[in-house]
Amino acid sequence: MQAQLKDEYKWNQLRQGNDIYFSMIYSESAPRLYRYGLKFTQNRDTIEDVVQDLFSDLIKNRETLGETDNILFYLMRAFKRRLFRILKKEINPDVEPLADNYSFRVTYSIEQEIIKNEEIHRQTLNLFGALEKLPVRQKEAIYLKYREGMSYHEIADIMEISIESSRNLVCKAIKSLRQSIHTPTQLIQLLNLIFK
Amino acid sequence: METSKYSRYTIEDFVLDPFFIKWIISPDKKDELFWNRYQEEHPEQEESIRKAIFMIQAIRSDKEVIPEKKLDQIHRLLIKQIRRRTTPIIHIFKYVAILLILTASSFYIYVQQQNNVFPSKKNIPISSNKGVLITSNGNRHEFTTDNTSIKQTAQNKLTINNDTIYNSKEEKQPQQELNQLIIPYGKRSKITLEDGTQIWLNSGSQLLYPSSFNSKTRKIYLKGEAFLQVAENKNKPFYVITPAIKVQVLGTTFNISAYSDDSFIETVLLHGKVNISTNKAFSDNIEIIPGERVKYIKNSKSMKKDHVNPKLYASWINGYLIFENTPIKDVSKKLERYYNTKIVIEQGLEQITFSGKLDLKNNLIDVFESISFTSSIKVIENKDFITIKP
Repeated sequence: MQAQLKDEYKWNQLRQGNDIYFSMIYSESAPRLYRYGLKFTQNRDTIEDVVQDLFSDLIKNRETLGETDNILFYLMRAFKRRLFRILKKEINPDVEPLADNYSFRVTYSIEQEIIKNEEIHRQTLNLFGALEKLPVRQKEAIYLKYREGMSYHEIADIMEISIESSRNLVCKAIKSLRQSIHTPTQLIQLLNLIFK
Repeated sequence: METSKYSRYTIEDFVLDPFFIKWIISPDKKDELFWNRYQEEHPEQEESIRKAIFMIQAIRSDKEVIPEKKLDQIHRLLIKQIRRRTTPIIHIFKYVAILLILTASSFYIYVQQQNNVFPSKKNIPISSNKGVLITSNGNRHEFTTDNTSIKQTAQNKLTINNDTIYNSKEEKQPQQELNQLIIPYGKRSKITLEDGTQIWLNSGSQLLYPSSFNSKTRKIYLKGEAFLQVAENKNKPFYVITPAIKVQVLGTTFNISAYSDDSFIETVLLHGKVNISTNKAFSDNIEIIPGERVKYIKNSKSMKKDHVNPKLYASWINGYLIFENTPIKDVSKKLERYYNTKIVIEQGLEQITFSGKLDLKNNLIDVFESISFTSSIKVIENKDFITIKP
């Protein structure tokens, strides 16, 4: 078993005003919120403001906070809503905050070792190309799924869609990505070398 | 785990399988065991599995750089906000808390290298089962109680378990002359210094302190483990100097603790603010806030900061120990010190961990009987040591 404290316990300690748990929660989740924020905007000041306000309100309202057994999910959902409220004001006040016309920018990057091998490099770039071309909502869904390890239920909640839709977004994305890797047997051998 | 359903899996099926995803993004031992074995048993699926891993890793390859410093700044602002909000409660504590853990071996090494920093001539090995207080005029006061209470009530007056001891007034007590307190293994002590600072010393610890703090700073020297509540005095900063690192107490509310015989020194803060640096000139400072720990690694002479549950580190002053998935060797190391008994762990028990609370008022055998480790163990009492068998 992991020597990790359960989210539920940490959250209750926070609600009871134990500031050590506040620090623990902050240091575990703030970098991930920040990274998530960078997918929507490159304005770092805005992201920092939202992170600070979010946690500041957490301190102010800690007695009245709801329950959660997944702190990261709880915070990401709140973070996204706040960020979109501000982005909406900044960019285009007429746009509905959670409509399809937002951007989700991910910088995929390759390990140096992979670049050394031409064939792997080419295949990786193909896959990255396919990732870039994915519709924005699919991109966000697979980010939440594979980067943050969220369930379809949680993805649905954060993206304000149905659970069925969140599952569909992930499945469609994976299907397109799968088609981008045509793998000659030669590549399999190379992959084996890398992931040994 | 049933493996049959996986044998027909395509690449996509693997990429979408929750158990497979977990193995890639946050594997535990169970996952590793399962999937490594699965791959061995199903070489025909090697290609699909490799490609599935490749895809998930590509999706996860986003390497955005997060400005840690900026996030730390925000953290500090938020902590201030908490302080403001809880001011009435905070005022009740006049102290801050830290814990230090350090090694006996590093002590001797550092004493040689840094005589100017840590007063080595005062060093007396911890041996017998008697505690000793050697005052700055050279008088020895021995005590045999398990928990000894010592108070330095004035420069020339101190009490040990309510017995008052006066130091001759003719004795000159220059600034640098320090009293030395030695607590043997198996015993503990609480000492109150002249400024009101309270220090709980754990088994096998040594403390050098002045009878009164006459200079601009308050300095004490510590080897072993101590839990400190430093009295507030903004005009006289408080330093805890250990063989390798120095802790400067910045806040108004804090505690300090330190242990012996490890390859590292740990400082854990419960309240307030402290600054930690190595004893080198121009050394880097690390400032920590409650719930943070700084670990100094003896071999590499490097310091690392992370978050811990401070309760685990401070519980001994209340007569119990709390563990969270702690390996058996670490549990028994603490118990060895506390009970002054050698504990031999037989091979094959390295993986066992323990979580829970141990009451140190019980005798050692009872403590071990009450422990539920992750597997069953047998405790055998020998003449002067204890053996743990699978």
